[in-house]
Amino acid sequence: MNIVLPNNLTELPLLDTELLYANPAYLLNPESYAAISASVSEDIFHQIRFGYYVGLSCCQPRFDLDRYFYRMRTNPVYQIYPDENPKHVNFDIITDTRALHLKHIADKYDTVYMFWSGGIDSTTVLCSMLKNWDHWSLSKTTIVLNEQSISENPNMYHTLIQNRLQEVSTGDFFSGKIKLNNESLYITGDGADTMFGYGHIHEFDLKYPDLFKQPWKKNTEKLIEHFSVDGSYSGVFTMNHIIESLEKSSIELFTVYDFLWWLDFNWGHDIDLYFLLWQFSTLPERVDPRKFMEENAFLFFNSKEYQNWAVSSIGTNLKISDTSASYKISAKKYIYDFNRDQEYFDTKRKVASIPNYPSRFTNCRLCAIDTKYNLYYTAPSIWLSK
Amino acid sequence: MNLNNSPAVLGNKVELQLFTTLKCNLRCSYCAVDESGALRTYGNTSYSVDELEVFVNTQLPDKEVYFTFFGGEPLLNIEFIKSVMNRFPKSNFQLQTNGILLHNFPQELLPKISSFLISLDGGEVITNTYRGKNVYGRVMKNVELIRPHVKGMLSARMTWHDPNTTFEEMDALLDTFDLVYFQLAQSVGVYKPEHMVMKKLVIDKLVDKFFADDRIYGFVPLMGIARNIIVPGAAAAQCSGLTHCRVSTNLLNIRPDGKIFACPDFTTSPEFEHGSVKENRLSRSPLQMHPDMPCYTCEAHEWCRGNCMKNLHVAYVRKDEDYRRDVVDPVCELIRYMGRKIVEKNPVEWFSRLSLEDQHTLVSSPIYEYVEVMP
Repeated sequence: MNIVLPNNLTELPLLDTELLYANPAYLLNPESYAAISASVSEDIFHQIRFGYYVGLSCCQPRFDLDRYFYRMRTNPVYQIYPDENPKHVNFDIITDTRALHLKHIADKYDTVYMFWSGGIDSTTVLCSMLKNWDHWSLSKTTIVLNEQSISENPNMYHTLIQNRLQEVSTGDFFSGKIKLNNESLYITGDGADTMFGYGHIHEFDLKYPDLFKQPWKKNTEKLIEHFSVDGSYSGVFTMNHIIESLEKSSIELFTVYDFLWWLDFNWGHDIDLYFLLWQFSTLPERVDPRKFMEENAFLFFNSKEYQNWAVSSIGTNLKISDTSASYKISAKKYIYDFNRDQEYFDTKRKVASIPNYPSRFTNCRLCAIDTKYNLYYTAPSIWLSK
Repeated sequence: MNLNNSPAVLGNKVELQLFTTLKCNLRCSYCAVDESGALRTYGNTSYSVDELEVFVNTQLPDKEVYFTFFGGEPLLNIEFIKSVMNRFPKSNFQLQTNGILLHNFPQELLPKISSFLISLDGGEVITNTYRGKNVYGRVMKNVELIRPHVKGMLSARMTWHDPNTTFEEMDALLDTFDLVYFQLAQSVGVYKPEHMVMKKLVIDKLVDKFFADDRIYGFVPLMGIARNIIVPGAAAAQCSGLTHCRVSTNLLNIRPDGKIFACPDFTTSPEFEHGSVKENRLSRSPLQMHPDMPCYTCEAHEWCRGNCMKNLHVAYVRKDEDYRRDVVDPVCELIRYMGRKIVEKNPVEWFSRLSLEDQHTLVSSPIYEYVEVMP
């Protein structure tokens, strides 16, 4: 654990707490913002704001561990790092093997829930299960979905889920009709976004079309402009911060897309912990949160093999082709190979499948998770969820 | 089925089976290509690799194209093979050969072949009986020669013709090859009642051995049938749920003159032509499941998926009753028998005991993309 605590950071809360996740930006609530911004150096303040820009944890990047100032504990389940110079393995092989590994785990449970949003990630997971699981394993699996899932992927629902698999609505699931427990398995499609990159990549494509495959070194001005969220924030800092991390990682990026992807890959790898805990923030008292998060929850794309795939795919067309329309192309091809849904393959775009996820635009923000899986929110001041 | 509105190829992957020549250096007694009237009708390819590239780029954009070199004996036209491999360096390649000329294949290209299918008929005596004097020994010597340089799969493609073929000689092929794909011969006169009994006894032993250990026993038809029974989702997904020999979905058989046919055994049947490399055109395969075919009501459909489409077409669409009785019915009966034997072995429970690697091999072995899966 590397901790660098600048003397003038005493205004930040939770400095004495061991955390699995922290986003200093969200600690900048209106009450402390002025005091903190006045008390820290410009560099530290930019780091804090960097987390605000990324919209996720900025505390444990893969290759920049010595510059952060919270007491971070690495979680072996949620913080998985790629190998150095990983060998490339085909996405389909990784996915099929992952599904079989998951089947081994699922076979130990009587009840299995699979969260299906209709989006690319969870549809990839569901296709891999339908392809690799036997009837017995599928028969005890319940698909958690809602109307939005169906409207997002109607062919998948009508041809492969309806009347074939058990299903429950998210309304029933989260309202308490389904009792969350430590005896069931909960499968999600989380983890794929860090492999492929988040929404800001699409914002960039809309703003600067046809640049994805161009060399990033020839497009630094546009990247800085893209990173400059508002007048008070320095895109130059973000640019330099990313370049520094690249130097430390010995990873070479060539294209604009890869550069944008790296931002999410390096700093966003534990965002799924954040999303998942938010989803399950009302776990009943009798449920052991550690066991729930580390054993009962299975984030499909959260694996060393996928992390290695993401790195070994740098410079290829495997994550995206020329435009946003081909986003997550390898996952879409996997889906198409299974269900032959040409329309979905041709038209499916990146959509935030669960609209109520907390984001940097919401008022109530998850700003930290401690090692006992307690959640800390800011709305507007820091408060503990339980 | 309205073929006009459907894409020419279903799925991401498409196999281009290139008849590099229709000349052959052997005269196997049961050759299906010979029986179709195609063998020796064309020499080497008369379309260019440039034309092939234009065809691929315009008709199959964004598809993952892989090539099988076929014939005749494909190694009688090595120059064309080299040209294709050099022109499409990112593609996967398969070589289906009788193995006689393997020692002439450029060593530097051996690691670039993902799958070798070497034709045999079983053990030495039977192979030499059907394929020619000392063929078995020459093939095995060549396989030994190339083995150190091969990075892909090396499979015996065995035509199960002779009723005297034993379990032991089939089993022994795995001493030399990674996999064995056997195909039930499509010949009249080899499925007499006593021959059926003999074949079923061999099937019993193969299935027993298949489930004797918690590991993969590399007989492709058994792997495929077991896979289709254990994980039906994978079976339904492959080839869009249509026949696993790929003729209805994503296999293009390109004759030396560049014309494209649905099935390698139908390259002299104009009704099955559905494209041309030279003319740069392609439409959907006309060889599709027909209402007169009885497959959808067959107990074996779950694992068989309608193999072989050529057999089914001849028997049920052309209504060749002799062929149906003497070839198709016995082949279907043996496939049903194999499936029943596999179901008896509680394959799901066996599957759960396999290592993750073997489970993955059973579900997703690349060999399923190269052979018909069913026998």
